[in-house]
Amino acid sequence: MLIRIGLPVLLVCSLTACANPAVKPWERGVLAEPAMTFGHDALKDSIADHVYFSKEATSGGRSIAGGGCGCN
Amino acid sequence: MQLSTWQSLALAAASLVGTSSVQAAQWEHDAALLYYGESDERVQAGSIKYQGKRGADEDDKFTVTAGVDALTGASPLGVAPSYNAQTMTSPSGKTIQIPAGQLPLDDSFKDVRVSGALQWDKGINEQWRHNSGVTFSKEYDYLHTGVNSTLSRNVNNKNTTLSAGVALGYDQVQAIEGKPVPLTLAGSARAGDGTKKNAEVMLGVTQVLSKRAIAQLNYSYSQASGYLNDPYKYISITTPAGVVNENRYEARPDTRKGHTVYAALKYKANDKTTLTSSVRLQQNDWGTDSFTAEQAVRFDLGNERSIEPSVRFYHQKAADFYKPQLLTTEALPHYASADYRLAEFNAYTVGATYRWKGSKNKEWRITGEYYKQKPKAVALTAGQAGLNANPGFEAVMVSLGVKF
Repeated sequence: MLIRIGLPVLLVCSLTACANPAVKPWERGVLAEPAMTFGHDALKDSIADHVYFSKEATSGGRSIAGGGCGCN
Repeated sequence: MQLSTWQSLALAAASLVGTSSVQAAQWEHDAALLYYGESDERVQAGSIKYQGKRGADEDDKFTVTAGVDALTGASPLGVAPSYNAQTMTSPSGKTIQIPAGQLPLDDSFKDVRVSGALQWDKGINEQWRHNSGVTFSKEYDYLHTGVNSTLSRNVNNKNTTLSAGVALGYDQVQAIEGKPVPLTLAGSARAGDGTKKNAEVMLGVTQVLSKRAIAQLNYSYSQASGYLNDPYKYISITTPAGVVNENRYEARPDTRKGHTVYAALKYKANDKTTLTSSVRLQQNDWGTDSFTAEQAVRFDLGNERSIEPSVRFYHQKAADFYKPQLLTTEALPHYASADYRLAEFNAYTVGATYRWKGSKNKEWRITGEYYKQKPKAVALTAGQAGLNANPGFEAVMVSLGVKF
């Protein structure tokens, strides 16, 4: 139980510790590109997630509320 | 102004939720067609999906998603293969003849699924946003309804976004001829619908790492309870000599709890190369712990074209109660399933997406992928030597998408 709760917390803390607050709004040209945006291809992602959900025992992780299906 | 069909659809959806004052020009559309086909005449599927979004990233956004999936083909019954020919009745009442030595499949499998979702994304102030939505899908024998809500906060000069969300689902399993009683003999009386409740809580952080790198980390806890069986799957009771003595309906636990950690990274390596990596770990109390890793590399080809090869690896352990068959010499367990999706296996996907800009600013993409599921070999009885209850399968996925 400690690992289940502690590991994600540790990962979040580690990730935020890597933050580079020096990245200013006017320096985000690259980060604003579609290819650099999480969820830009939402429909493509949802198609893939649905296929995998129907064929594997794992689902989710990428986002919440993927919808339901009788396929699994 | 003459509205296109897509704009009319989007406006109609917006009107339904009381946002009829929107301007057609504010809508962005994303549509996709999918073909999915498995080897050995197993499942074939075709889908059409649509997503309309009103509002830019910094504004309030409204998103409507709709889709239709049609499926046909043959699906494994869970019945063990045998060197004796078998005859059984499918849940829909059709007689299934299973030739000696072949994997028992139900070729009467067909379904149509209609799905939809509405999402509202609203800025509360400079730091806080909230996103809420409803999801719905209906198949001939299944109904899903769900709600979700996520609160997110920008901190650290918008270099960090923290989010917390919850999703609740209520599903009805409206099995043909009713739901069977777990572990009763095939052909036993079936009656009524099953219900399933799902709840998921997700905590996430998105972090700008540099001018060229951004990462995402999500942790989610999910819980399902209710009727979690597949009403059309069986498990065989086989003699030590390898003769299938009888088939019974599968029995899964009526609760399932899982923890998932998902991490993703996007990195612009140079002007023409963008890397997207992700890993996912899941642990759950059915025992189907899994690991997923995906890697995509997008190469800018110039003239608003790009090619993006991708690979995916997936591994899951078998469910604690998974068995390809039970033996007549064993006592009947409390839970048992021969569903191949609960077996231990590796799965591999390789594919690529090609994107190009078409006329009238339309962004097109075509994605082709090859998927292979390779199960861990599980021995049957000596009398079934050379037979495989779960041989795995291959599939091809092709999807065509357009944004405009």
